[in-house]
This record gives sequence, structure tokens and C-alpha cells, in this order.
Amino acid sequence: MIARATFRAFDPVLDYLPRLVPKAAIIGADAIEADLTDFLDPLARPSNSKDAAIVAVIDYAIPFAHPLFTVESGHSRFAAIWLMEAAATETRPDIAFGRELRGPQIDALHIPGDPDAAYRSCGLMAPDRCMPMAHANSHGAAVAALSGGYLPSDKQGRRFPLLGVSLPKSVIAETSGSLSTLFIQAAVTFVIARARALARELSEGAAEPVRLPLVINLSLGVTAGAEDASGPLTRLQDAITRNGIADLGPIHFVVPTGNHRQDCLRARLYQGQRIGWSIPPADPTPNAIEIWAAAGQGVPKLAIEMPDGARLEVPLSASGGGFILNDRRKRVGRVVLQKRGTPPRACFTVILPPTLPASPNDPHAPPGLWRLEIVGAGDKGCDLVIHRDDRLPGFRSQALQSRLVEDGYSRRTADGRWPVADPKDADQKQAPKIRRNGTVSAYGRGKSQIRVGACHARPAGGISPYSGLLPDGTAGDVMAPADASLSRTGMNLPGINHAGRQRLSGTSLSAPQVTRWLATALADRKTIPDRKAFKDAMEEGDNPSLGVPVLPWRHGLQD
Amino acid sequence: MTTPTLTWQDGSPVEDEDFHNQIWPLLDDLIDSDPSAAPDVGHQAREAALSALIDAAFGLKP
Repeated sequence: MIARATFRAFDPVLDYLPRLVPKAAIIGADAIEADLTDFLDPLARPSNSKDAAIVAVIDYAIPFAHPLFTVESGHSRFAAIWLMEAAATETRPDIAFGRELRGPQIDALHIPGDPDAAYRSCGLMAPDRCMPMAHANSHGAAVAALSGGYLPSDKQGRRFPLLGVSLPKSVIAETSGSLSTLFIQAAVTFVIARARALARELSEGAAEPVRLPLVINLSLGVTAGAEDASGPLTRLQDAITRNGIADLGPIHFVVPTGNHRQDCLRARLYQGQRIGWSIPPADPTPNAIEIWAAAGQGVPKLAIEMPDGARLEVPLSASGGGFILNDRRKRVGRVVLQKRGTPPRACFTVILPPTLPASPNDPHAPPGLWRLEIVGAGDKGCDLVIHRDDRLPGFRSQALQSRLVEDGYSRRTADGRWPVADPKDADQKQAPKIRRNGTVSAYGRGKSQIRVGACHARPAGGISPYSGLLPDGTAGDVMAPADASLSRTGMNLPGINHAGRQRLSGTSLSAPQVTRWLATALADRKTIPDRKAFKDAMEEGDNPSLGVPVLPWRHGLQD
Repeated sequence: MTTPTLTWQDGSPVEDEDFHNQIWPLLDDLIDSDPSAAPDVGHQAREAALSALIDAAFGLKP
């Protein structure tokens, strides 16, 4: 089973968990067994379960006590949320760390006039220990509000019970995604488990079982990884959507295409070609690039050149690993050879240690322009893709993104515009090496997810400059506006504070608009079993847009 | 159906043991594991909880 195999493969991360979450989130001997509670107060349940759909959000710092997630009586629409960083003051047999809250528990934590009471009581505003909710704004606040936020007075809200998972900060901050798969997969598993249980709860007393549709929003993304739907997360999501789950109706995963189209993280190189790899100074995190041979072609042979011009061997010792040594025989990098994908492809990962090591004795790489050369490869060439390694707004990580450098490649066109798809002849050896096609997040490489790109509200449908592209050069299965215009980026969104607003931009905000649309369509009993049916429901054209959303706050897309 | 064999540039086959066996190669750089550290006593409990979660999500009788 995919889920069990991935958990086993991530055993080292599970072992390392005490260093990834706050100490209080580790379940100790003093934790008490959680009471068995309903998922939703009767006043917060859908008035008619047959025209309802479950919306799930997997993100960071989700303000579960926000009024947009309540009904008029004040009861929470969150049926369950797994707070992975919360103090583990109570235990459940299937919660490995942190704490799960059910709707009535959230209601019980509400103190009139004290909007932070619920977060404080869960240990999410503990100075020097765990502070995800001690801020005005968060990514999770924006994404959750867009996915399933309704005014308490709006009876529509009751049609959409919510599930949530708030991921640990340390996992989100490590943007390569190497740590996050375990947590995201656990989150998906939690959502499925609780959605089934919620469906059973809502079926009690009904003449026949209610099979609620489920839409899961995952506004996270990584740049490198398997491109053939063979990654663990995409395989799991594909299996869930394709096979369905007992007790539930159709299940969809909605993911953003990512924000890295113009970041020069992707290239195609043929034998004998070389490209620059710019490694930033003062970067405390490793930099890595994957080099994929085409399916059925031999393992590529690489050469690497340091910024000072020294040409280094890329050796492989036993078990597909080797160290890149400088002329003084010191390690300046590591290389790993893997067999990945179906059919299998050879994949080299070149990993350079930080340019700002934690201590002078730790391995470190010189910053500057490194060069990679494909000395030997099959006639189809190699795909190069750099691991994401950037710093998220609001996080203290000092990670810096490396990028590819190609002589003559310009990020803007001669008339100052941002280019969209690669030229038609991009597969020719003389074409530019840096690619924009295929810059979609690796999380969106499955066969079933709905991939959402970002566009401008005005002029309608203009693709946002950062929005990642599918391999065919389109901006996703659909776009949704995340920017008012090219010159006025972003949109207004709720923050953690009840009256707060934040202006954010990015495909992370486009995906939940589609989640909202899809949940409404499924609750209205429209038949949308898969990606194809979803695309058929969209307007025609290469890059269909969802249009400007109707939201319960002024979104600022048309100001 | 047979699985295609990957080859080196000289055409000789790459044996399975020539490949790195960890799915996420960056993990070694991100996780500062200390082999001399005492084993984490909560590991088994966390494994059991995740296993129970899988049963609740995908089992026939949650």
C-alpha cells in the first residue's frame, strides 16, 4: 500500500520528529485520553446533507477560530483539525503528535471578547516555543478563507463542513519538500479518515447513507521531483481520486501550479552542452539540482566546474553515492544516482553544502557561478531541475534560491514583457536551454489533481508572470485571479486576526478559489468525477479562467 | 512485461546496488542524525498511531 510504504521510507524523519515540532507537541505520559465528541454541533451541521460537500485545507497556521468558519449561532464549521504543533495535552489512538480538535471542542475554547483564547489554550501562542498564531497574518488564514470561508450569517456556509491540518513550521520552512512528504501524507490520511467518520455521523438517522463529496486544497509546492506521477504524494492522491473511498462521494485534490516560471530553475541539455549554476553567498542551506536522463537512455556523465574554473570529477563510489572533491581533496559536494519513475529513468542529484556553514569546520561550497556539463548522454538529452530553496514570507529561514544561468537568456522579452510558454522549437538542440514549460510544481504531476494557475483580474485571463506551466505550456487545468493586474499584484485576504487583512499574491491563492468553486458544484450535485470532467466544465480555450470570485470580503481584485 | 535495464554510457548495465536506495537524497543533509544518541522512545508509538490512521482512512471497517 502506497501510504504504508511511504511512511516506512520516511522512518528517519519520524525518528527526527522531536526536533521538527515543539517539545510540547510530543505526546508524553501525562496526556489524557480525549473524550469522544461529535464532529459538529447540530446547529453547525448541513441542514440537508444531500447538498453538502466537505472542504479540507492542508496548510500552515490555519485560524480555526475565525468567524468565517462559524455559523450564525457561533458554532464552528471545522469538524476536525489536526494541529501538528499544538501541545499534546490529550491523546487519540491515531494522532501521532500534536492535537486534534473537533468542532464542539473549538466551541468550548471560545471566550467572548478574546479572539486568541483558542490558540493560546492549544499552546500555539507560546512565547519562544511555538508562535504560529501569534501573528496578524498567515498563509493558512488566506488559503482557508478562500477555500471555505463564509460570513456566519450566510446559510451557504453550513453546506460546507471543514477539515484542516496545520503543518509544522519547520517542515514548511524547508522548501525543497524533502521533509514535508511524511507530514503531507499523514495530513491527507487524516482528512480521509475524518471525512469518512463525518459522513457516517451525518448519515445517522438518515434513510440512506450520505456519501459526501470531498475537495482537498493543498496550496504547497516544490520544484524538483518525479514528473511521471510516480512520486509518493501524487501516487497516493491519484489512487484516492481514481478508486474512491468507502463512505464518501467524489474526492478531488486541488493544487497550485507553483510560482517559479521565471526563476530559471529548469533546463534541457544535450550531450556536450553546459550551463551555469549560480550559487548564492551566505546561504545556510544546501543547494541541489536533479539531472534526469530520458526514459530508456543511459546514465548521463557529468562534469562540474567550480567558480574558480577548476574542473572536478563527479565520481560514484558504492551504492550510487559519491563526493565531489576539490584539488585539496576536500569535499565540496555530493552526488547521488537513483533509478526513479516508471519506466525507470536515471537521475543524478548534485548537492552542494551551504555557502554559509554553521561552523567553519563544516563542509561548505564556494558561492558563485558553477558550471554543469553533460559529457555523455543519450540523444534525447537531460532535464535539469533545481530544488526549491527559498525563504517564505514571515519565516526566519535565511535560505537563498540558486538558479541556472545561460548566456543570452533573458527573463523578459525585448519589449519588456514576461514570456509565457517556450518557443515551439524548444526541443531542438540549438533552442534556449532554460525552460518555462514544465515549471508546474511536482505536487501537480499526478494524473488526477486539478492544477490551478494564477492570472490577472484585469485584463481578464492574463497569465501572472510567476505562474508555473504544465509541460504543454498551458497555465494549468484552469486559472483563477490572484492579482488585480500586472501593476497591482495580489488580492486582499483575511488574516489570523478577525478584523485583519493581508495582501498576498501567488498560485497558492488561485487553487482555493477552485476548491471553493468545485465544492459548490459538487454540493449542487453536478457530476464531476475526474480532471477531464472538470476541464469540460470550464470554458473552452488553452488557458481557461475561473473569473473574479464572489467572496464575503472586499478582495481588491477590481479596485 | 520486463523492466528496462538502465545502462552506463558505455552500454554496460547498471546493477541495482549501483543506485542510491533512499528516495529523498537531501534528507542526509537536512537531518543531523547522531548515531550515538539514545533511541527515541516515542518512535514506536508514533508508528502505531500513523498505522491506526491509515486503517481509519483506508480500512474496510474504520
